Amino acid sequence: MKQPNLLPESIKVKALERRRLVLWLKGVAVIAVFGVVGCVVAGAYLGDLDSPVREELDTVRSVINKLEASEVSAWARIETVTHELGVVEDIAGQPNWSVLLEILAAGLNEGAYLEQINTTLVLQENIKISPPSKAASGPYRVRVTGTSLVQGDATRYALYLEQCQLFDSVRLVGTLPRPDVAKDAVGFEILCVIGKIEEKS
Amino acid sequence: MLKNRTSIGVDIGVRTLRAVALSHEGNAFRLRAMVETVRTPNHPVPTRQDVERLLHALERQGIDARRISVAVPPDRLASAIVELPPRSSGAPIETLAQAELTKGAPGGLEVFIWDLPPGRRARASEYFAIGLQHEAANELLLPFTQCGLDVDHLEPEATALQRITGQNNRVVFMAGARNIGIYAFDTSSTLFMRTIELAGESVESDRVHTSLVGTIDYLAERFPMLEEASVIVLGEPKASDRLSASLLLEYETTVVRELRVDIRSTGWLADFDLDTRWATAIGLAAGQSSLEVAA
Repeated sequence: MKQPNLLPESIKVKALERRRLVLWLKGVAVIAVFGVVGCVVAGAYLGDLDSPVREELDTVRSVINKLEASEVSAWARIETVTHELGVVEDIAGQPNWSVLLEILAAGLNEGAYLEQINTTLVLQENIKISPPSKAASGPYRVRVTGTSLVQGDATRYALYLEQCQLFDSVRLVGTLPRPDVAKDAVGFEILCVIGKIEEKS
Repeated sequence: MLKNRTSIGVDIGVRTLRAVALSHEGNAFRLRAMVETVRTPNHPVPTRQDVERLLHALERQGIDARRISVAVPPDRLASAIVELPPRSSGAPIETLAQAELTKGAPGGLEVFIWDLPPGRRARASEYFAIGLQHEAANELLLPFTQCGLDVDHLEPEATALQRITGQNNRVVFMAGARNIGIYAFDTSSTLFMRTIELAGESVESDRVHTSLVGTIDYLAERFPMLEEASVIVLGEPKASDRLSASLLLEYETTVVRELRVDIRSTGWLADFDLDTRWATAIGLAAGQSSLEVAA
């Protein structure tokens, strides 16, 4: 029910504005108090949570350290085992060199003979540990030196090696006269490769 | 010091200022203080000293008054029944009523109107309008504001009495030492108000008696629903006794002499008889308290 208030309009407006101002101030004060209380409560809660969080963080760090230590230990173990495996394969997985000798010998005729055969396992420089099957699979460099009574025999022998399909590449490195053996005799050096050797760029 | 939710109503009488402090207690009111102090004679409005005297008296009863409601003395209030277009027409009724009351009264005017029920012979919509000139309001407020008081409400005695005399149709007589106020209410609004000046005469005098009877006859004619209305007589004990006797002599009716409001007194205030001359101040404090609770 509407009740009369005969205060002049200007006074009513001022009173209304004053009430609104007081209301606003009270509102702001209440919000501020709630804000402070919220901060205090949050601080108290976070303070209580601080220890568990820190403990959990320490636990996680400890687990990470343990895992890192385990990883190092595992790598060391892997290295040891890999080395042991390589040694075992070096012993048990050697190529059958008699086949090589047989093939090399088959290409010789009466005017040519071999003086020296060198086989070298080629290792990639960036691999520190030999893979387990490295000894068996190569690649190998085979250096063959010998003497022939005529130049043509050396050339034919190099051609034979290239065609025998044992080597992936055959290169006649050089020949030189061997008057100490015969008047037309020459010494030769042939470099063969079994497998693929990555050339350095 | 009591400050919160204690409402203070101040009734400006001819010779005294009456103040009542109430606070809400459920559906009832708790009487916190009641004060009556004399006014400086021959002043149309209370002086600053009058208000200071009232405040000191309230302080002695533990009330630190800051906000109050004040009743407008009847002689300061303009009132009239005005014929205006019905509200359904969309016409600015308040503005038109203000224009009607402002006729011959220069300066700003604060107006309030109540819609009246249609009369038997009414040709247009009628409204009961009251108005208070800004100049008169400011003059009345000045001593209170000078004492640092905020006057929240300035309202007629009629609405203060309406608040504490029930909800039914009723005619209320407020008997004072120098005048008699006559108020008519229906369930929710004020229908009529008039003040009869005694001018040194008694209620039984022919002039006063004729005025009373004429007013009652007018009310019965204009507002048929008041034929079954309650008759309530309030005010100064001696004056209201004589007025009550006069009414009983003239009409076959029952006269109610008490307020329809539950006020509980405690402490030393319980020893005092809160008679109905405090009705206006109680109505003002009750209204302010209700508004605060509603807010």
